[in-house]
Amino acid sequence: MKSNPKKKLCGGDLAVFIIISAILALSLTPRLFDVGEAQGFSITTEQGTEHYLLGENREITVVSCGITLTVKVENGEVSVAKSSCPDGVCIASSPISRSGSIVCLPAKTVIKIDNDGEAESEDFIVG
Amino acid sequence: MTGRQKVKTLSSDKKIAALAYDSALLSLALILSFVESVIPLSLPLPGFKAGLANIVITAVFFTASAREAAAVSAARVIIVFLLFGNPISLFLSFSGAFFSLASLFILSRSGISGKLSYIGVSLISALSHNTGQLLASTFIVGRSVFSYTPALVTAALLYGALSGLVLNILPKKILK
Repeated sequence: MKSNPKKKLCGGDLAVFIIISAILALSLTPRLFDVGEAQGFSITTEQGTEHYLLGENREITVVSCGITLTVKVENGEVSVAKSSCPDGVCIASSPISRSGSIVCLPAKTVIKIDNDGEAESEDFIVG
Repeated sequence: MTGRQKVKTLSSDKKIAALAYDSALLSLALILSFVESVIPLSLPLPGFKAGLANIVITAVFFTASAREAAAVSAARVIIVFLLFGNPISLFLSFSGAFFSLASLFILSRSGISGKLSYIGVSLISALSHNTGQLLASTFIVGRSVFSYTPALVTAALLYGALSGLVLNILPKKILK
């Protein structure tokens, strides 16, 4: 039987809002404990994973799935400076330094900060 | 005109009316998708869209039927892909649309949707949509995309509430 929703805000909506906020809080929990300084980051492309140091300022050119990405490392922060992909989502992403990742789906590329705790499982995951 | 013929005409009239209604709403969903691609409403979340077309799909689901909503949603995904998409965006849109429709179906069949307003329904539908896209992305780039979970849940909260608000204030003549 199809039951149409109400047209006015009700208690059920509040319950849904609280449950989704709880999911958000849970998904943020690992980041709250992740306060250590990261030493390096990895770039995973179609060809495999390469690890780099965060300390040295440089530009790295990555070619994956016919898309050329220029990854910029500056003052311990990693960002994508240039991309030949029309989406430009990776360029718009904020620079990452202590945790997080930048994903470019069309290039099947993930730039990710290496955290000590995850380092071992990471190789296994990305393979 | 015999009784049987009359029934036949009536049912074909209904079909034409449904076809016209669904086509009009499909056009509306396409316009909203286009507006989103031109004016990014992504706020602080790059690459995220507000999913305005979901307003239309939810409206079709509750005013017409689940089948019609599925048809309008599938047609929208395919046309958006042909107009401005690529195979990856088709895969992601399809997974999102499928998960979001599935959630509407479960909510409606279980009677839970009757206990919520359109805001609650849209929040769940938006979260399901984003879950579908996140799972689809893991097939492309691996489990690293899970680090996007907080952003996706935040987007579901913001844009789900926005869509639900629009559906709640739509006149009762359009949406009961």
